[in-house]
Amino acid sequence: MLEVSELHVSYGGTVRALQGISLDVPDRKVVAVLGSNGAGKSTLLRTVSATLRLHRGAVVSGTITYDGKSLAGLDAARTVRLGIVQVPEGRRIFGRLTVEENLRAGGLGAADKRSRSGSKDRVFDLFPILAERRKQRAALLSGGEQQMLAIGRALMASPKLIILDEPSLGLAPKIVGQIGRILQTINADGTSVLLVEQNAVMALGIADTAYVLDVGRVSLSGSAQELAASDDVKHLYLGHAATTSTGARTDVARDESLRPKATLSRWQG
Amino acid sequence: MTRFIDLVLNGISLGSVYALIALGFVIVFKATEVVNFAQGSMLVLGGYVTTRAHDHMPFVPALLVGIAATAITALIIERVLIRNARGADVNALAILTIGIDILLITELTRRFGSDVLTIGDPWGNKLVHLGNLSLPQARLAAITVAVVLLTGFFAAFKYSSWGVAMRAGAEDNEAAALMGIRRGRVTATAWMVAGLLAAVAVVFLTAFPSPGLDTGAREIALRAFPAAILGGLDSTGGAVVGGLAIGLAEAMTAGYSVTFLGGSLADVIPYLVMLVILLVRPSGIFGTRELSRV
Repeated sequence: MLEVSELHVSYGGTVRALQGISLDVPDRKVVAVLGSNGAGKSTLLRTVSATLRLHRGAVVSGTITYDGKSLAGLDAARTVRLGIVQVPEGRRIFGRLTVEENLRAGGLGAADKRSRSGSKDRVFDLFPILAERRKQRAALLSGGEQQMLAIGRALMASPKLIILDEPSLGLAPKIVGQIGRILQTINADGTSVLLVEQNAVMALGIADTAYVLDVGRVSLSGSAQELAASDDVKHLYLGHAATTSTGARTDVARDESLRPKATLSRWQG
Repeated sequence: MTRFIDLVLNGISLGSVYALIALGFVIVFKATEVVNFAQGSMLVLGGYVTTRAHDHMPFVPALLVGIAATAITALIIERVLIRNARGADVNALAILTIGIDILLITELTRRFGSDVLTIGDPWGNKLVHLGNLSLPQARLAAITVAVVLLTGFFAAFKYSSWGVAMRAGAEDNEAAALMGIRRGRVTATAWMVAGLLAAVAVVFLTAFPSPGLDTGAREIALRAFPAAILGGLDSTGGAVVGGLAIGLAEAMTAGYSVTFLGGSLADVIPYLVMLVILLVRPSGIFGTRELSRV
C-alpha cells in the first residue's frame, strides 16, 4: 500500500539524509524500520508525512506512492486525509490541552467527520486510562499514558496506515510490551503499521517484515524472523552480552503476551 | 465616593475596550507568533470605513461594513505578507507589520486631513442616571458589547474546532500538522477576528465623551499593547485582565489629576503599569510557564 522507491532527501541542499531508500509497507502488515541515531529514520517519516518542509528538507529524487498514487506535492493535511497518520517521536502531545481535547485535535484532520465519535469510543476502549483522565491536562499524564494518548490521538483520524516514530523511547520495559500489544491489536483491526524503532526486540517481535537503515541507506531487509536471527542485527541491536539493560529488553521479547494471540478479548466486533 | 464609583465604571468601560484590542494582539500572536503592530491603524481604518459608510446607511449596517473592511484588510495582510514569508523570522515579520502600520496610517492621515469625524453611534451624548451617578450611555454600551464579544470568543476558543485547532497549533505546530490541522485556516481566522475586534473597539474608543475619530485613535489603541503584554502575550484571559487593569489605572490617574510626571500621567500609566508587572513577572501575569509533572 505504501511504496518508497529510490528516495533521496537532503536538508538545506547539502546534507544528504537519505541516499536511495526503497521500502514497501504491504496492506494490513506491520513493517519495522530499525536504525541508530542519524540513520535517516525520522527523515523518512517526515517525507512520507509531508512535514519535511518544516525542517527545510527536500526530496532530491525518488518516489513515494500510496495505493498507487504519488504522495509528491501533497501537504501534511492531505496526507492525513488519505489515511496516513503519524505518531511523532517524543509523543508531542498538546500538554496544555485536556486528554479529550487532544483526541479532538486528532480528529480534526479526519477524512470522514462523522466517524469521530466512533473513533473516540474505540480509543477509550483501547486505552481505558484515557477515559478515566479525559478532563486532565495532558501534560500531567505519565510517560506511558502520554504515549497512549499520542497513539489514541492518531487513531482519531481513522488511519489506514499508522506510522510510529520510536514509541518505546524513554518508557519502562513493561510499558513497551503494552504498547507492542496495542499495536498488534490496532493492526489486527485492519490498519497497516509502519514502526520505526531503536528497540529492535519489541519491533521485531510484532513486525512481519523489517528494514535496517544505516547512514541513509537500507543495509538489511527481510522478514522479521530472518532479521532477528541474523548475526548483524543480533550484534547491533539485540546485544548478545547479557548486560542489565539488554537483559531487561530480552525479557520483553520472551513475554508470551507479545506474540499474536488467536483471540483478542477486548477487540471483538 | 460617588466620584470613585464613577471613575471605576469609567475605568471598566475603557478597560473592556482595551481588552478587545489586546485580545486582537494575543490571538494573532498565538496563531502566528507575530506581534501585529498594525493593529492600531487597522482600528482607525475600521472607524474610517464605518464613518464613511454611515453617510449612506444607518449605523448598524455601516458598522458591519466597517467590520468587514477591517477583517478583509487583516486577511489580505495575512495572506499576502505573513503567509508568503513563511519560514521567515517572526521578529522580521513583526517589523513588517510596523511597515504596514506606517503605510496604512499615512494614507488614513491624508484622507482625514484635519477633520475629527463622528462615527455616528446611536448613543450620542445621552446619559444614564443611576442615583447620584450619571454615566454616558456609550460607556455602558461598551461594557455590554465587550462582555458579549468576549464571552462569544472564549466559548469559541474553548469549544469550537477552530479553538481546539488554534490552541493545538499554538502549542506544537508540527504535531498539529501531523494531525492534519490546516494552520493556514487557523491563522487566517485569527487575523480576521483581530480585525473584527479592532473595528468594534474603535466605536467605543471614539464615542462620547471622546471628541471623535482622528488618527490619534491609533496611539490610544496602542495602549492595549501594554495590556496584552502585562497579561501575558500568549494568554487570552490575560488580555482581558490586562485591559481592565490598564483601563482602571488610566481612569484613576486622569480622574484624580495626578500631577506626577507633569500632569499627563494618564497617557503614560499603561506603560508604567506594564513595567512594574514585568519586573515581578517577566512573562506577564498569565504568560506561559512550563507546566510540568512533579
